[in-house]
Amino acid sequence: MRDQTLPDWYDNSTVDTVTCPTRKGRGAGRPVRRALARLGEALARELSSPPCTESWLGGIEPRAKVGGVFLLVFASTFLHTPAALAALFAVIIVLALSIGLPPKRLARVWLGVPVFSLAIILPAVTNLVTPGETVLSLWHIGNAVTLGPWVIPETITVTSTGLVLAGRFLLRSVDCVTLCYLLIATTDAMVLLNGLRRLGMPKAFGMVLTMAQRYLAVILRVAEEIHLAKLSRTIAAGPVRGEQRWVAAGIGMLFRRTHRLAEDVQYSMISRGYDGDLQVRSRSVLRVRDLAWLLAAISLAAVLIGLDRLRLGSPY
Amino acid sequence: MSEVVFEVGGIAYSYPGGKPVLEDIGFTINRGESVAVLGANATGKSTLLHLLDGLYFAQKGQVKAFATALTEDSVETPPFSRQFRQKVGFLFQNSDAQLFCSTVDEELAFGPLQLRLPTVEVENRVDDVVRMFEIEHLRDRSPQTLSGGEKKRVALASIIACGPRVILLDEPSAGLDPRTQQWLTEFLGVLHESGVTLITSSHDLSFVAEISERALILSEDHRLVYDGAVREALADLDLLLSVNLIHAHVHKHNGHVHEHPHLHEAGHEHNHGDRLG
Repeated sequence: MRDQTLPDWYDNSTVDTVTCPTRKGRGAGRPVRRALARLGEALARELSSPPCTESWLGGIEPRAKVGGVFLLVFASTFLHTPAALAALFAVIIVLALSIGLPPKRLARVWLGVPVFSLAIILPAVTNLVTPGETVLSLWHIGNAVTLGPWVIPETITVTSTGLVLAGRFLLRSVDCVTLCYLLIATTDAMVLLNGLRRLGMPKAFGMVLTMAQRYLAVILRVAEEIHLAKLSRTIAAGPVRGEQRWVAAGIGMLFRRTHRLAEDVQYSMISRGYDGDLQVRSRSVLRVRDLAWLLAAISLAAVLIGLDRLRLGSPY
Repeated sequence: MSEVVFEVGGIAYSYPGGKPVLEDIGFTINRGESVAVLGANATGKSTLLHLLDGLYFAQKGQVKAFATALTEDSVETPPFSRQFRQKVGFLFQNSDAQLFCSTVDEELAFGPLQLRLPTVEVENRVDDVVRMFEIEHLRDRSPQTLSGGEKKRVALASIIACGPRVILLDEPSAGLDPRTQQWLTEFLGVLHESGVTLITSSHDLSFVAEISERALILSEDHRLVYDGAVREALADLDLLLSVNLIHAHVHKHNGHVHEHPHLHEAGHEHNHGDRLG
C-alpha cells in the first residue's frame, strides 16, 4: 500500500495560533472583487425581481401587448420633431407611473441609454459628419485635408444641425428603450417569448432566447462559486493587474464549466418535452381590454405621426 | 408476458475527441423492473442514462424504447417524441441544471405544459404533486433559494408531474442528508410498487440494495460485466473489488494489522485470521 504520511512541511506547520490584525488591509484588488460581487448582485436582482405582472398592463394578453408596444416603437422611428418625441416620452412616463414601476428601475434604464447613444452619435454632432451653423469650435487643424470623397475641414466644430440630430436620436432611443423596458417589466420572460413566437418569431430565435434566459442564471451561480473558491484561498488581495489577469482567466474557466451545465439545462428541458416551441400558462383569447389597448396604441401612433407632420416646434 | 421497455444492443459511445465511454453494452429492461446501474466514477453510468433518454445517440449498436429505435429523427418526430417524453422521465444528478424556472410552481407546470396537456389538467397535476411531495410552502419560492434536499424533492416532483411510467435517476442519493435519503428510498419504493420502471445509476451500494432488484455493473474499461440480481452482486466481493465499488482496507485491531475488502455502506465483519500483516 502507498505510504500516506504527511510531508514534513505540512506536519511542522506553525499555524495553530493566529494573531489579531494590526492594521487595516488595503488590498489593491479589492475594487475588482467588489465590482464583480455588485455585478453579480445586480444581475441576480434583475433575474429574480418579479415584473409588474399584477398591474393593468401586466394583465394584457401577451400578443396584444407585444403588438401594441412594437407599434409604438415603430411609430417613434417616423417621428422627427422634438415635440412629437417628447409627447411620446410623456405618455410613456404616465404608463410607467400607472403600473407602479419603481422610479429607481426607470432611472437605471435612462442612465445607460445616453451613455451608449452618445457614444454612437458623437461624431455626427461635429461638422465632420453633419455640416451646419457652428455652435462651438473644437480643434483648428490649419488646412483642410481631403481623403478620397471625404474632406476634413480646417476647423472641427460642433454644429447646430448636428446637435438637433443627436437630440432627436437620443430622445428616440430613450422612447424605444423605455417602451421595451415596460414590456419586459410587465411580462414574465417565458410569456414574453411565447408572445414573440406567436407573432411569428422563428423557432430557432425563440429557442436561443429561451436558453439564454436560463443560461444567465446558471452562469451567475457558477461565477459566484468560482469567485468564492478563490476568495477562500486568498490571504491578501494582489495588485490590480494580477486581479485583472485573474478575471480574464476566470472568464475562460467560467465558459468551460458553464458549457457542461448549460448542456444539462437544455437536456433537462428536452427531457420534459420542450421541442423549441415554449408552452406557457397563458390565455390565448383576446378580451375587450386587450383590444382596447391595441386600439389605444394605434390611435396614439396616428396622433403622434399627425403631430409630427405639423412640424410643431421643429427647427427644420 | 412482460413488456420490453428498453432493448439495448451492442452500443458504443465516446465523446468527441475522447476515449470510449461505453463499449459493447447490451441488455433488456422490462416494464416494472427496478434496475441499478452500478460502476465507479467515470465508467459511463450517466452517459448510459442519457442514451436511454434519447439525449445522446449511440455511435454503434442500437437503443430501442417501446420497440422503437431511438434516433435523432424518432425522438423529434411526433407522435413518438411526445409519447416518449411523457412516458420517460429523467432526474438529473445536478438539480441546479434541472430547476431553471423562476418559481417552484412554474417548474412543476413546465413539463405538463410542454406536453400540451389542457390547462385544467396542468393545474390539477401541479396541485397533486405539491400535496404529494408536501411542498406547498415552497410553491412561490425561487428554486435557486432552496436547500439541496428541497431541490431534489422539487426536481423529482417536476418529473412526476409529467406522469412518466419509466424514471431514469442519475445518482439520486448524492449529497442528500439521511432524512431526505430515507424519504427518497420510501418514495421510490411506492413508485416501484405501482409498476413504474426505475433505472438508477449510483455507486451508493446500500441505497441501491434498498431500491433495486437487478444490477447492471459497468467496469472501469466501460463494459457491462454483470447483469443479475443486486443481492448476488453485493455478495460477490471479488466482483465489487474488481470494478472499484469497494476497496481493500488495511487497519489494526489489538495490535493485528490486516487487510480485507471493505464495503462501507453495508458494514463488514472482522476475521482477524485473514491476511494478518
